[in-house]
Amino acid sequence: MNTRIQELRKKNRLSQEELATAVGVTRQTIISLENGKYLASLPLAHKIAMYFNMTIEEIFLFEEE
Amino acid sequence: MLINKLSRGVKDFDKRIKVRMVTATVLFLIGIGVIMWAIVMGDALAVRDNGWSQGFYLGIGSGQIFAGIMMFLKNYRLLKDPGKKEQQRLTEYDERNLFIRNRAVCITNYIMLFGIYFAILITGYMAPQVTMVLVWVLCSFLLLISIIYFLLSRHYL
Repeated sequence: MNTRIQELRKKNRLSQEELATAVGVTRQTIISLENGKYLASLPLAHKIAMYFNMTIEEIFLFEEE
Repeated sequence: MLINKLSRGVKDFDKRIKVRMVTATVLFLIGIGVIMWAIVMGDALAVRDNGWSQGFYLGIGSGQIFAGIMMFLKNYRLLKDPGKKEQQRLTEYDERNLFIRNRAVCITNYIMLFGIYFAILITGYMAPQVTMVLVWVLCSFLLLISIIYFLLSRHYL
């Protein structure tokens, strides 16, 4: 799944570590999310969306396979 | 109910550390018990199999004592250092780490099941006694999976 996390993080001048601390996960999780290797749980997706003041759909780009 | 507690885990990290410290103490005490038993039963064990059992129990006991001490010290240090504790909490509760851990356990279970199955096929020809032990291990394992699956499916209803 594609996400806009990297784009939003860079726009807000945040490091992966800072975002990770803010949403309560490790930096590796943020890296995996940005690379589309790991699918975030609903609570984590919600936390990230809340952090950027956006909706989940605006950050996580769902594509029907 | 136990399954509720097990499926939830211990959310409070301080409590989790304290539970580990108690576990480490129990491990340490069992280790001492095993060593004492091996020493007290020394002659009887030595006569039976030339001291193999005594060495085995002494090894197990000392391993447990060492593991108990290390586990206790590690958790004690975490409890005293808020920075390290927070780092450890983050690592342990991180959802990607939990996901990887669950996947690893799941894949390992499949490998173990097939490994035991092939071992049963091979030992059936060479050592029927070992085969019977393996069959019991495999059946108990499958039974345990079925019971836990049933309990979890009811829990998440």
